Amino acid sequence: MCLIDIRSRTIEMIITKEILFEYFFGRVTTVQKEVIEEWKKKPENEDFFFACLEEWENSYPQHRPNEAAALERYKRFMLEMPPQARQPNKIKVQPLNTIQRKPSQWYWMAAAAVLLPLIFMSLWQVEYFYYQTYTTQFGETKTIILADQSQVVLNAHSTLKVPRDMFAAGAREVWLTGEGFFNIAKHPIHQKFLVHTDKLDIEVLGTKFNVSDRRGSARIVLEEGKVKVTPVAVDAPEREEALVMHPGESIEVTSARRAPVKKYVKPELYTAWRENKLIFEQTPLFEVLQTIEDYYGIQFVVEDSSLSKEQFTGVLPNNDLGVILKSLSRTYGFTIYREEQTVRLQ
Amino acid sequence: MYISIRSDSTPDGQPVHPLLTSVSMSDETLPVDGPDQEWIIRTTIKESPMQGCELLFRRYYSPLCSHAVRILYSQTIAEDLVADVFCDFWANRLFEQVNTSYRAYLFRMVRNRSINYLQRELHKQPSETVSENYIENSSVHPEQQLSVEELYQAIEQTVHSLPAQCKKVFLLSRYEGKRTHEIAEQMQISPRTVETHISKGLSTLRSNLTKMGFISFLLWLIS
Repeated sequence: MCLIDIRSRTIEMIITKEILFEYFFGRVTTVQKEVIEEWKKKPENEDFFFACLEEWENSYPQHRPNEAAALERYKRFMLEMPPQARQPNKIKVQPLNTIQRKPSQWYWMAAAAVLLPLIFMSLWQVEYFYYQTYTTQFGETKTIILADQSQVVLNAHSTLKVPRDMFAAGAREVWLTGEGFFNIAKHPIHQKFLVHTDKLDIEVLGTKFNVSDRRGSARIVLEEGKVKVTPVAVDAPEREEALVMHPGESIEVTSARRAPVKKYVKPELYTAWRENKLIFEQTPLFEVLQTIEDYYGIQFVVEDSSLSKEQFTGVLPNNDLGVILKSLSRTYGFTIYREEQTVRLQ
Repeated sequence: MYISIRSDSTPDGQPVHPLLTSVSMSDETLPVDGPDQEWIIRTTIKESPMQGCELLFRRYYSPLCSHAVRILYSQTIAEDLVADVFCDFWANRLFEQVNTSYRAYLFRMVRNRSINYLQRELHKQPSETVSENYIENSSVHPEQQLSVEELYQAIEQTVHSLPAQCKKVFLLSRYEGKRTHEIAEQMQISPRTVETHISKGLSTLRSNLTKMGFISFLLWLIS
């Protein structure tokens, strides 16, 4: 039946069903195996090979499935899923074991149409149910005493999200956008206090510090105690390394440069807003203006470009925009035109 | 006369892996199969594909499941996989494209999918024993391709070589699809021990098949 030339040795061997059965059992010699494997590569032998394999599987089954039940499922599948229009090898079909659970794709569409808005609604409800959100308007600050007696002073135009049941989750955790000053109470059981912002995660063990998260950059200034800061990686899935901060240090992350920058600063410059003061020390004027913008929700238009190179040192009272603008104009000698939310400096 | 490893059944009709039972002797004579008998199916499919597919299913589902079990070593995975093959065969009109025998077509499909499944499964878990050198050294030779027969025989041998307790747990879990706590109850051992045995079985399988070149040769493997 078969004459095969293996490495210039001509071996004559008749491939029979019996020898193939031995081959399936793994009871043939190495030479026989080689011959059979050469033989079965030929397309004309394929039919015979698989016919023998089928018979072998029927005679010596490794497994006898429940054929009747499987056939029932298959028939149901064929009735529910008519063959696709001719598009060979393109369409992936629902596997059989899933169709029992899915009566029809139409039901799913209909169900989704009804359920999705409900799910969104309930998510919003859950959010409302679980979190208390504090918000400040432009020009407004708020002092919040949390359930653990920690104090948060929320600067203008900022939001703080606090779980309603702060201690249930195991850690004290809050979410901040904008700016806030934290005075964290030491707690005997719940040691950790976590402040999440868009760019930085801060882990605290009882301390005082200021966090701002505005215009895509975040800055934390530590006044007292010790905190651990973890920049939130934007594109990389893994977290960046945590930095430990000591009093008088600031860490800043900007959108332009994601690597955190550590500086030694005077914390009081960054926390003076709580006493309705803005303190600046050789701060570029544009930063001063930005701070005021963030606080009062106004927009400066600087028409004299030389102004932007100026630096500002001094204390501004921070409870009246009119007073601030007046003192700035006196310092730099520019004229101020105010139209609604836009302030023009000439 | 052949020594046959038969899949005996338990009293409740559940098939049991042969290694769990004793090897029995059989002197069945082998029925002689004539040439291709598929012309009936072929003409039926032309007239009514649904009826034709049903005939194919009745004829080949069981032997295909039995064959897939040898590679996948799990009854439920094998049955699902074969059922999927038949579903695709129907829904994607593959029955119109078969230019070999249906039998050869279906067997090849089941073999390829089983191998793909096993490969993906074994690759998923990190292996501690695979040596990178080995894979590099065993340069791929077309002649050295592992045949499907060698593959399932290697799997069988590997399972055979496991320590008795480990083998039993592995078979109950993998082959029969029993849950961890069921096995723990049945064998009076802790669920944690059960899990250890299962993962030991899998990692032995993976390292043995890697040594044989199965995992790296697999891409070259043609049924």
